[in-house]
Amino acid sequence: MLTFLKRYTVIIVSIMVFLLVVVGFFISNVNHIYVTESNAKVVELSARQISLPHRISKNLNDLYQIINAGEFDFRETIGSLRSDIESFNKTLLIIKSGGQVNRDEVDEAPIAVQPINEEGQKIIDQILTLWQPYFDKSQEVFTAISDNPEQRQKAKKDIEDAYLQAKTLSINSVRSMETSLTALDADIQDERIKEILASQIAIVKKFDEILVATKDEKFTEPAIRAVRGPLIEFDETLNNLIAAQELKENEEDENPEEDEDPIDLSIFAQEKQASLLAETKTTWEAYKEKLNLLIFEFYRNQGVLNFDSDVLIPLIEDTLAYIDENAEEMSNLMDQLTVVSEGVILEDSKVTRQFQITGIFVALLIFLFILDRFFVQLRKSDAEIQTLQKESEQIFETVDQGLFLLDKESQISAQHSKELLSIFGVKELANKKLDNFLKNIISNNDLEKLTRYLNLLFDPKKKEKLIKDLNPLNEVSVQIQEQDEIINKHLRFGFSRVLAEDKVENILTSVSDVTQEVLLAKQLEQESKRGDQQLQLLSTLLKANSELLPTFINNSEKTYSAMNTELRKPASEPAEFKSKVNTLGMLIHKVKGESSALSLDMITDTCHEFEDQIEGLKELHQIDGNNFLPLTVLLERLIGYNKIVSDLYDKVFKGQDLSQVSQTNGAAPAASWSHLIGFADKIAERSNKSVELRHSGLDSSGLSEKVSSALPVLTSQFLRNAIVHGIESEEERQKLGKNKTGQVSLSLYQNGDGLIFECVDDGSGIDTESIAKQAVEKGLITQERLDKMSTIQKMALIFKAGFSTSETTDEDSGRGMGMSAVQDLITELSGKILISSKLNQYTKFSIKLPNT
Amino acid sequence: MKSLMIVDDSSLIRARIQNEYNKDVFKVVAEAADGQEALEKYKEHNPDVVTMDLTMPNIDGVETIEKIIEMDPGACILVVSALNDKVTGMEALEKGAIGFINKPFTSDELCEALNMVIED
Repeated sequence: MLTFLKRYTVIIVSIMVFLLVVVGFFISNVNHIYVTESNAKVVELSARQISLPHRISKNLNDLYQIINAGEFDFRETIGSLRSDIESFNKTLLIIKSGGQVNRDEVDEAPIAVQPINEEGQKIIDQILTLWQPYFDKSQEVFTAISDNPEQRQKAKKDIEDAYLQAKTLSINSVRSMETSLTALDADIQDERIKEILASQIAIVKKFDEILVATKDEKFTEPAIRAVRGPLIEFDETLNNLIAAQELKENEEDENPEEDEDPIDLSIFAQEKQASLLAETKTTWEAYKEKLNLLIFEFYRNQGVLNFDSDVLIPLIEDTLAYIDENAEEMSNLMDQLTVVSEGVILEDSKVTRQFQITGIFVALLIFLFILDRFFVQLRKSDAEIQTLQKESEQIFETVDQGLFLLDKESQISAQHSKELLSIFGVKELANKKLDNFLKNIISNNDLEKLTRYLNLLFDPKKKEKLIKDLNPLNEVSVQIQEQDEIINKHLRFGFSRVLAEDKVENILTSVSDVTQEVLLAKQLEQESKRGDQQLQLLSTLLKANSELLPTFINNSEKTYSAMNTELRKPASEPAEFKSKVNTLGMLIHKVKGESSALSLDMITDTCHEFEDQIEGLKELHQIDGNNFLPLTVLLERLIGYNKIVSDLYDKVFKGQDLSQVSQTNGAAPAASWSHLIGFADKIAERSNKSVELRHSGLDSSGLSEKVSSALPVLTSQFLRNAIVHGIESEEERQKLGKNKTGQVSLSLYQNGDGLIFECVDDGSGIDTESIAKQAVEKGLITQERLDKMSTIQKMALIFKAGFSTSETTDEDSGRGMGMSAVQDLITELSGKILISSKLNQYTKFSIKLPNT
Repeated sequence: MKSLMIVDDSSLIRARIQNEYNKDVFKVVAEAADGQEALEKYKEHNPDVVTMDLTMPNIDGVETIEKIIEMDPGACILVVSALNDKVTGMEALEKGAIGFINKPFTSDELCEALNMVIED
């Protein structure tokens, strides 16, 4: 409200100034308005002057017609007079002697009248005595008129005589009749009779009027007066106008007002009006003279009209003729006078109006000026606001952060940056509740923390800078739906107070997508981890078994290529998929064994992951091509590792031939297999056993390429198998009275043209029956077939794919692939496997290999 | 000159704060190694500012803050804590602490925070 007032102060003040000017202006003009009013009255007065000659002329005409009776039609008057007289007579008689009075209205019952009392009868008799001659005479006159309409002149004479005769009678008799009837009225109680009497009195009065109207000064005088009154008024007014004097309003004015202000007649003093008035006066003077003569004649006869007078009638005729001649001119003159006067007044009021209009215009001008200043100011401030708004809009459009204001109800402001929507992959966020919106994309825990954190921010007592560390959304991982896919994003929320008069009004919230940063950081971490791995590799390489690396690289490359072929092999039948899974499992297990033997942990870990995937596939009821995709990825990774190993190897031993290395350095042959001891220790440690490994002849020279490349697999597989499946735990061995450290020996020696690779352990031996039982349980063979098997054949079941006696799977065992892979390798080398075993004593694998 | 009380169960941290606080503005009037001691010393010295650790034996930081505020609603407490749990930090502020700095802190961070705590 206050801001509103401030903003509109200028406009409010300007309106007030405008009103003040207008009001002041009107006050100053009241006097002028009054003058204008007075002038309007003058116009009215002069208009009345126009009508006066007309009235005079009309009344004169009436007078003439009355006097010149031939033009005057008495018949109607006489008719009504006659019936009135008859009715009067009849009623008098009834009142006197009783009877019925018929009312005027047909449907009303006649009034029964009882004979009046004696005194009343006396009075009526008196009336009748007075009335009788008048009645008789009037009857005579009426008869004369109705019988001889053509003898009007004579009738006129008769009427004149009759009425002149009746003059005295009528006046006296009517008076006494009135008196008598009034006296009678006092005696009569009957309201109805009173009514009748009243009507009688009225008739008498009417009769009197007719008498008066027909003959005597009472008849002519009003007519003369009618002429004289206007004549005097006109004359006076005209003179006054000429004198331009103040005129007291006439008493005869239609609306006399006692305290009327005098009318200012100054306008008639002006030149034009004065000449008009002079002209009027000339015409009027002649007119007035004639009228005055007429009036003089009338009064000379002392109010008695002489009908035969040759003086009066020509006089009137002369006057009328003059009037006829000059009335128009008079009228015109008066009209002109009025028009001129009106013009002056109009001009006067025009001046007034102009003055008013000018005043209002000036006020309006001032008002507009102020308004304009105001709007300029407003526009200026609006322009500033607009610029600011535009700027903020531009910021909101272009900033690569989500920006918005939050209020205490955690409602998002109507304005926010465009980026905000794309960060959250939504179309609308304005005016929404932040927590309602966030609850779908962050955890409840974070949401609760956010609410608490915002409360702290809104508390002005808390130091904003000193609570920033508590921001729960400094980095938060969110799931955001974009089109049809759900994307994982890392967002950073920033919160800053927006203060208004020391109160925290809003919180400016920024949201940035830090996914790239986070991923980069992770990548960096991975890089550093890979750096660690390379370091690890390097240390592995620097160990004495580095000469085995080319063999490993070579072998695994072949295996990967075989796996690749297997993966690409078309398959549609479930059986085909199953065989694919088995083949891949076997191949990867081989790599795992070798990498593990060489302590190439990252390769071993990846192989293990690969095996996990394969296990997963085995559990599926239906497999299709898509299920193999993760395997492809892992294989890619393994191939990548191979490259790293190979590169590193080249860098470390660049250009040096392996055999040369071992020969020129004269390294002890056993040393090249020394890693096996560490490998054995590792496996033993992992399976919680204690093992001592001996080996001999593995570094024999003159081995065929096939054999030397197969040797690492054979050594690692058989060593692992011996430790995991052969050697018992320390406790078990002690129970059996054995040395708690198990013995494993690996040896290679010449046998004729060929070679024999031997792996002996002093472990639990092979429990043929237990193996057979498991093989049946796992569905590897049927009971029927088992029944037909020899002990050796039963023992050979351990080489069957899918067979494993260990209950858990780990890096070293449990996939049931190891021995079957070994068997494949040996078959490939055209070798033979011999097994001998004694329960709780030993197991010996002897592999006969041709050295080709 | 404002009086300062240091509450931390680690003598090492107490020593660090002792060494590094801005001596032109503050003067350490008391040190406490746990909540109970802090409450007693607060009553005794009524310091202008308290630096408060959160993880302490017996009475922990949050509870200590609550009790100090009960005694003196205008108390000015700066939490100095190794932050592994933001919720505890928030709790401390909700109970009445007015600021929070994270261990490990630099000498500048400490001085800046202490200055901020007393500015109005």
